Amino acid sequence: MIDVTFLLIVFFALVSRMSDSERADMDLASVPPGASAPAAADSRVILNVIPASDGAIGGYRMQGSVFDATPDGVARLAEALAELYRRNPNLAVNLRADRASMYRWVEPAMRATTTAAMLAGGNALPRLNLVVIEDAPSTAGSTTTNTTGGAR
Amino acid sequence: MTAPPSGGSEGAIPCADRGPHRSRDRRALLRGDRERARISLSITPMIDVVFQLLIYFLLTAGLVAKERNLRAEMPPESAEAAAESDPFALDTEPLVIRVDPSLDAARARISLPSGLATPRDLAELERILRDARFDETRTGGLFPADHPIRIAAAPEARWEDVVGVFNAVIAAGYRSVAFGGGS
Repeated sequence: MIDVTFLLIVFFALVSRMSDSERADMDLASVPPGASAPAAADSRVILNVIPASDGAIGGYRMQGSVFDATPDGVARLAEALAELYRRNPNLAVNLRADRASMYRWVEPAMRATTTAAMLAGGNALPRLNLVVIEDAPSTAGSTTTNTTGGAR
Repeated sequence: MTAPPSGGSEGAIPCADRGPHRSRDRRALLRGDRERARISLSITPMIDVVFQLLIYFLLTAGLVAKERNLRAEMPPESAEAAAESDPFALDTEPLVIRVDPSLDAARARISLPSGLATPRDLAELERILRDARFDETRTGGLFPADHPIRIAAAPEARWEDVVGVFNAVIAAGYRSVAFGGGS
């Protein structure tokens, strides 16, 4: 029993440490249940829109790197994403943004995924997951439909 | 009648050997017990700490697991350009949903094209869009499930309102949703 307990502790310690390093501290948008799906951990990268005061942001963070909220910073973000797409064309980007952030700061991150797919050679199909929190626990199964969307 | 075994304490030692090494084995056994008693470790406090750690990590991991995803597949820019140059592509006008910040900071102002009612909140938006959708099981709808819908959010709109509209559109059964054109 002690062996199993220690294994559980090691597992949860590793998982929580990985989560802390990838997820920025923010207040995610909450939505009614029904359309969202559980967050999957397969082949995804977390892109954080770092919140600041009054709806502004402090940049974008992905895999420990911080990119400025400027056209140059967004271009570097797209290049970094393109490099990830070249390694894994099926990569999904989990976009985390604070509920109070203005759309003007989140939209460049969405646009960066399409730019990155183009830079990667066109084979990649950008998959974007908008990370949210459900208002109440869902009792029924998820009714999520694959959605075709794009930032234009 | 049988004679009792010699030595009253022999029965306490489970030893089949009743030969001349009997007393030596007994001394060794007693010596081993003393050594074992010296190196014994009380693991009760360690188990307490281990369970405290386990409960801590279980609780913190549970907080992370509450996050959920709204899935979207973004068309590559090159594919968009190809679709625009396709001479056989049908020109389908997207249904534009405008999201503007309102004076009431608690909720955004959501606008639909003329012909559709103006929703007061996200729940009403979902109901209007669901009523406007038609398929094999429903009559009187205006748009099929794959009709393009564009969320035109103002730059000052809060992200929660934009995501809420996206969630309502998906929950209403539509599959082709895009962002843009709000500025």
